[in-house]
Amino acid sequence: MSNGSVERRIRRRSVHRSRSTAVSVSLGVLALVAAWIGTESVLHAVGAAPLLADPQTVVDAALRPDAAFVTVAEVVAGALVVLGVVLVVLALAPGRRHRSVVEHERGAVVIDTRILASTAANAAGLAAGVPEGNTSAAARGRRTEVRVVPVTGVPVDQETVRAAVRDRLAALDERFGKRVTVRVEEKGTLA
Amino acid sequence: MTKSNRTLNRVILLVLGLVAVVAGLVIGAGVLPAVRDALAGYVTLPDRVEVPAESLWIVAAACAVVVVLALVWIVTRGRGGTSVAVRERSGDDAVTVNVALVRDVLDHELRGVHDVVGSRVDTYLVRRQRAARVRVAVRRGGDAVTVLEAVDRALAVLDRTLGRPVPVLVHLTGGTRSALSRATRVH
Repeated sequence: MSNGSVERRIRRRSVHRSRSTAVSVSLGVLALVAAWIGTESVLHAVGAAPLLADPQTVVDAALRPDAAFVTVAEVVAGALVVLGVVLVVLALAPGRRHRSVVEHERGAVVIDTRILASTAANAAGLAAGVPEGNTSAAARGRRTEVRVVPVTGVPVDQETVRAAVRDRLAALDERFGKRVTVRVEEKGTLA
Repeated sequence: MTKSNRTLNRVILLVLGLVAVVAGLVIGAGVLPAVRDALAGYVTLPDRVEVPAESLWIVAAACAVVVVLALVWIVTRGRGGTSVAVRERSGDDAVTVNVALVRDVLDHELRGVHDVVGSRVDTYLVRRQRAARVRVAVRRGGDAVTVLEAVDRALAVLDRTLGRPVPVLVHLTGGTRSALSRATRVH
């Protein structure tokens, strides 16, 4: 169905989160650390006084700190390990956003999960004949759960609502309509 | 939508993450006996490393390279946005269509559509082709099917206006404006 490598590419890039911010922040921190190490090296090489500590002191403190630096070393070590794990997870996790790809003949189409749920709630409200505020829906992946609060005295047929929601979502994409669950509340509201 | 290389982004994050974990473990092995014991089976860490005076310039140069590369990467990220939606060249002449025209056409076509709160258009250069991203804000409780049909009609008008189909990404989204908009009470 879809429609050129450019559209496939922008669709894919829209569904997955960019890591540019994370990369920029960590590269910024790396640049600061590298700048500091470089400065200290140069200062030591030309025999000037260090900014904070000369390279040998830093290496000593990192490998076997003396009593004054034990807490600092512990904190730094812990922070580095946590930061590293976060970065590795960011690098390897799929990083999908709450959006779904819809097959469509013109253009690449992505729809926020929230809008899918709102569409389902809209269809359910119409089919059940209840005001819009009485229906709510949650969509996750391809599963959609709809909750209907009936108006007192007007029975709501669960199957009808389910069929309506299924048809409406299938109009977007067949895959969304397959797993729809409808829950009709026992207690109704006044119209 | 931008040009940033996402695979390389992931690789950079992975490398930096692993470096941070290793550095953390090395420092941790110096202070925490538990970490030292856990690592003892795999590596033996030296108690003391002399920093030779000759290596200082090499270290400084390496640091300078790292700083420059990092800054270059940060500054050049996210390129690819453009304000020209279509560029048609014939001989020495070129006709360009600004994104504002696309914006106006879509705004005009989507105005009055029941569940649409607003739309935003921007264009990007993707693989040396110009592509448009259309973000349509859908009213809270709105119906994506009718909105998508309206967007299809609007895109058909746009194609006729521009004289050829432009690659588009249609993104139906919520957003603050639709969250604040009133839910309709009559269908």
